[in-house]
Amino acid sequence: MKLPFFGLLLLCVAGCSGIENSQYYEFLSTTTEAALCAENLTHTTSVKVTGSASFFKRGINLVVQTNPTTQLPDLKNLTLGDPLQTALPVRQAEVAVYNSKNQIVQCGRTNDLGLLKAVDGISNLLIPATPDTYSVHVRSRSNIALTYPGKPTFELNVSVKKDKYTNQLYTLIKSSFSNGVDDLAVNLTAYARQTESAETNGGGFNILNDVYTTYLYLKNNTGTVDTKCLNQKIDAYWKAGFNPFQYLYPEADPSTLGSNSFYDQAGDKTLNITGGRLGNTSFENTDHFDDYVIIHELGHFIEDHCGQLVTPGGSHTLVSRTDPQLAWSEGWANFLAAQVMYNSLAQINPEFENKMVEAGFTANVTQKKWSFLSSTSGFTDTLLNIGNGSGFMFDLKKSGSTPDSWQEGPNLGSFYDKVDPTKYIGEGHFREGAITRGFFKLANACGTTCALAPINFENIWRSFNAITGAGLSSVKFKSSHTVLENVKSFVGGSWAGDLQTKAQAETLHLNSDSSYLSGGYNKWVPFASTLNSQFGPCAVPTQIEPRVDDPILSGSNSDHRYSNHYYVLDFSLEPTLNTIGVKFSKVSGTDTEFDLILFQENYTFNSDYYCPSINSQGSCATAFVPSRTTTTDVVRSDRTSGAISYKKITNLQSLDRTKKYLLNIRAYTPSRSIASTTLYTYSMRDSVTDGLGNYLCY
Amino acid sequence: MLLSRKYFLLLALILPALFVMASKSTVEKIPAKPVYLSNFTAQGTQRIIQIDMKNNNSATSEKEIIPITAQVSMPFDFDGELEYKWLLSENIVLVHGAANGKISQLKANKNYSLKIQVQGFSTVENRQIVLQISGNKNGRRLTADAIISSKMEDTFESIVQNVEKIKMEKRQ
Repeated sequence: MKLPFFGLLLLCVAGCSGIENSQYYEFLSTTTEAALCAENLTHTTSVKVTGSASFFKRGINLVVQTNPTTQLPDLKNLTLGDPLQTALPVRQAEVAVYNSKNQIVQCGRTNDLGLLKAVDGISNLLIPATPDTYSVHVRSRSNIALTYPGKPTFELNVSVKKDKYTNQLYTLIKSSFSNGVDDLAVNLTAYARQTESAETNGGGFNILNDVYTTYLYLKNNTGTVDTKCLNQKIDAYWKAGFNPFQYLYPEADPSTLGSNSFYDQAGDKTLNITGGRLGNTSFENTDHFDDYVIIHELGHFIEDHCGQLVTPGGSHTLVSRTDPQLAWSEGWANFLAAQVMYNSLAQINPEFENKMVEAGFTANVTQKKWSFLSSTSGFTDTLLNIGNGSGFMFDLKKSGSTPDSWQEGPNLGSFYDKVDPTKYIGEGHFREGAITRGFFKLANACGTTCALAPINFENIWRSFNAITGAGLSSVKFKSSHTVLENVKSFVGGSWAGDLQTKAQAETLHLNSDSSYLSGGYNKWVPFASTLNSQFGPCAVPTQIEPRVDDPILSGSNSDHRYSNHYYVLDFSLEPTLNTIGVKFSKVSGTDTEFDLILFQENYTFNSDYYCPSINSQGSCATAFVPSRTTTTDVVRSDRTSGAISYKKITNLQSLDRTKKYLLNIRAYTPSRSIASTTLYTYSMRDSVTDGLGNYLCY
Repeated sequence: MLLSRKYFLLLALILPALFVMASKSTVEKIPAKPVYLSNFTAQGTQRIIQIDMKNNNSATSEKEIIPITAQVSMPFDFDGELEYKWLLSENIVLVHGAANGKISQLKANKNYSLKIQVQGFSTVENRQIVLQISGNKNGRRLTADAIISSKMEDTFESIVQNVEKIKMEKRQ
């Protein structure tokens, strides 16, 4: 009896206490980020500091096969390879110069060529004409104003830091003796190989470079639109060999905790870039040289501050129709990354296009450009004799009906969000891959699949932002359909024709193009259409097409495109609405049950399944079990089972009427065999009694 | 008798604390519900296969050969084939065992043991070994991987774990 108890105590000593090891002390209290060195110090007599800062990053290796039919090269994958042959300039980074007493004698910044300059980025960097040893520090931080004619000046304010405890910046340091007479020449370099820099500091400066490149693109491509929303401080965390998910789940076993980059929208709103796992960078997923991933995460930050980031977040794999809010937020971030890289690649990877040309991609000028969603794992290095480079990518230029397929992992061989413009009209609004390809093709000249006269990015920005677009605070629920309708409005008459055709090729059909009207019925309702009451029946009655759950997601996902319609309930428009009753009538196919579910703002979709056993990796260890229970995001519902043709939700007046709500009319489909011809008509009225009350239409 | 009462009192103090910690641990595992994180596209989410691979025996010299063992299990009978692959970081050499292979007919909750022998997985510097496993059952694609480090205490993951644990204790 006594031994187990002593054992328990021993276990507790070893496992229940943090190990009081001195190496942890520096991390136990959070240190504030070092003060910005931004002051121009004047010296009676001075000498000039010349030189530059540059960084190496790993380049991209092309995996190319010859197409047996056309005998033309076919790009199969992109992986990380040797560092670029020529270092890139560290642009617009903070500079601080210290004397031998560790006193700051001058502040400055690098210019767009990486040259060491004064804080204005133009004047010479001057230090006292006093013989001494000076240390020049170049930090992974930028705080600069960006100007464009007619546009309010906005700021880039970004810090790339090593960890969340010390908040240390990556810093290049070089000390040199000045004789007080001659210029002091200093050149500093960050490296991509761990053998040249233990912390692979080139990664930190590459993240900084990607952020700056994106801001430059936005400065030059959003016209005179006020973009001061971009002034918000960006904190990016990255450490070579470290998986940032460990910050969120400190008790999780790091051996099996998945590694990925993310934007922490609900937490500290930081960018977290994965550097690998448990010290490994050579075969693990790392993103510090994955420019696409870095800009993607920045895209979430930008939507959060300049638009409105409304998404449940979570994992997504580009293989099935999914939550339209998730699809849009990810599609936007993907699109922005592709847009910046396609148009600003010389600032990010100036050697890539030559590699494409050498590989035979010379059919036209667009063929060699960056048009890929890409993420790499590990790297190949000819000097270090490492050959682990792998990854996944797809070409956004390719048709949505014949896209690339997964090159690795559990989805190997599955298409990246393949769409069928004839069979599944509008499904692109539920696929981040289609949204990414569609917006990219609309905004760029990239060959036959892309727009003949591309839409200016400014119009997409206006359609997305919080001033004129889907980011307006009044818009509580949105999807790519919301944004694309705005785009159509901004481009006006030029939409009809080529742009409309290109959007529809990615199944991004618009309701305003009458794409969903068939046989006198609306066959689909745009996500988050606002309900309005009227005395008589709706001008065009609505039908819903229930479909089986998507087997790709192990049968656990209600089809957002087909089995669900979503309406916004806005009490400012319907102040007395207290009841919604919906009558369903079968037109053809399988007898189907329907539910009414009313979500509050910022909801997470209430699934039709639950998992009886979730393992330590967050996956369902058993089969999903159908369930009609509701979550706390559901404020009213009618999920009664059985052959019921009339459903209602009541007591709506007791809700907080300053808020908006999303009414989900859902076909209940778990484990049901539903014929593909299944079709129902339904009508909504504001009465508890079937057949009475005003009609609710959109 | 006095000793037993003392033990009882200690136990009464410790057990609730253990219960709280266990509950906390359960809660802080990765939730099935999204946590409003915008992750980059992932390869897949069906991490059903369980891999238990711990590093209990890093070599202390470069030439020492040590065994690495992983226990693979599934929560249900798996009538398909699982493919596995070992990845060794630089300066680790596979001395004995297959670098990749297949596991057939894995029964529910029965461990399947994979074993290799390696040289260079030592405390001289931090090195890593990864085991990747994937399979496909009725269209449901499953995957899992596990990584171990030869100097776990040098990894920043270990630092985060311990720092957060100490912080939590100080808060309580």
